[in-house]
Amino acid sequence: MLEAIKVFGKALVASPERLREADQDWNIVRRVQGGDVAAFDELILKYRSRVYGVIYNMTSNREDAADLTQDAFIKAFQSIHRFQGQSSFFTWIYRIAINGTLTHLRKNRTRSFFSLERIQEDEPVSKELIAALTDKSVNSRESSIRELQEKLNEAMQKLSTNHRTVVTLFEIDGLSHQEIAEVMNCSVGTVRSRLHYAKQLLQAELQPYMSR
Amino acid sequence: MNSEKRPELSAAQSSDTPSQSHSVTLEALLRLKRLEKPAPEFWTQFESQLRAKQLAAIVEKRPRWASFARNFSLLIRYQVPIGAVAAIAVAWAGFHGYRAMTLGHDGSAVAYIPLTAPAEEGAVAPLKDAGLSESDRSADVAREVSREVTGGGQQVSANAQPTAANVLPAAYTAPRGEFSQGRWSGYDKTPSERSIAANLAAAQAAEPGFAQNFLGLSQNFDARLVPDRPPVTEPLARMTPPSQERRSRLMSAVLPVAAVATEHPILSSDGFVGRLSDDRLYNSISRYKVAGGELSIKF
Repeated sequence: MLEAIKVFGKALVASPERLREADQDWNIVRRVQGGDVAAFDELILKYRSRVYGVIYNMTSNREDAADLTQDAFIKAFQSIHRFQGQSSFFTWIYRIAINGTLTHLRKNRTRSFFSLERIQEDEPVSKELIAALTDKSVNSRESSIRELQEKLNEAMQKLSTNHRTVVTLFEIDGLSHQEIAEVMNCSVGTVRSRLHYAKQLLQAELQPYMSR
Repeated sequence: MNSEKRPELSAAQSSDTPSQSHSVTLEALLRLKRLEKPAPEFWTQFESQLRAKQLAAIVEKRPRWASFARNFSLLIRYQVPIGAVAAIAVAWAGFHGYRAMTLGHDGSAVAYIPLTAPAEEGAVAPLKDAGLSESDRSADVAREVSREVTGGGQQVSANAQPTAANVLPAAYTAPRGEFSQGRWSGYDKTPSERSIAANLAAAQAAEPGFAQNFLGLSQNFDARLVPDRPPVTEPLARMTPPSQERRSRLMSAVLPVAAVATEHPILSSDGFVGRLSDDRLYNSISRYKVAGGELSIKF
């Protein structure tokens, strides 16, 4: 009864796009559980960028993010027979990835160095944003971008792992509060409070780069 | 706060047209992180590494104890014969050790002879006064036995049947002055004992006078180092028979009075007492009377 209520609640909260995506993923999972191992590659291709992005923004290190992303998919492949469809595959793989990343960050608390990706300036959205954030001069733009990127990652690393996770999932990955609560296995209120506190900290750190 | 703006940002904002002016917000800064993406070549390497890890995950890791278990499993099929061999080996070692304890040097069994047998060379003797002569040793044994018998000197027959109470193994000898032979010829000497005996013999040979003064009589050296052991006797053999106790009790009551009362001397010779059987003596006593320092017994 409780499970039925949860599923019904999710259906109300989740967007139609999310529901359609969940159905597609469930069909692929059934094929993998039936023995079609190659079908798992479809899930990898579909979610590898998003999973990598979340892990990278939490670690600010390319190499660690690649290793942790691969480990997350391997764990999912090994546990695919236990997936019953109570949550969407997207939530399930995110949960595996974030738990693995949190474990990695706890073990390597003292070792933290940046290995940042390049900011893709070719996309239209990035041009406007970079133009707004940096000097219009071409000579100094790249250095400005680099400096801004480092300051941003430094500010993110100063947050705790839970606050950093919430900010990453909400502001960067675009998940809703409900989805974040499912992934992090906490309440929506907890997600909101963590998000509010994290934004306050980032506001204080990045004040020189913001305008009122 | 506006005065803390970076010059670049201020210049950009001052020269912007209204359409190009953007407020830099925290959300905008965080959206910048969305632009941090890997190059397309990155995913090619990612896929190859993922395949390698998937294959490695398929191979089941063996625990560290697996190699030991694998080697040990080869012996499992032979566990019964190995166990039987081990049990037989332990039993044989125990039996062999027990046999070595009980047998002599040459493997011959120990001969048991009576304690009171005539003293012979190497025969049984208590471990005391090894320097005494053979006759002295026999007399000592006889005295030892007689002291344990009460009621008038009943002596142990020299030809008494040896029992477990009064015999000792023949190997239980006290060689006279021969420390090197040891107390129990059934045991092998330890290296330390052999070395001590050799040194002692050498010292005695080199300086007999000094050895005698320093070590005492060589014949009694064993006795000093080794405490005398009393002869082994059965507890029952040390007990006096009840009849003897009654006889001694009655006689002790009668004899002191008889020594005082000269008018009526009571025959207390051993011969007379011996002729009386204890039952007859006890049954014939019908009345005791003690009065005025006199004891009268009515038969």
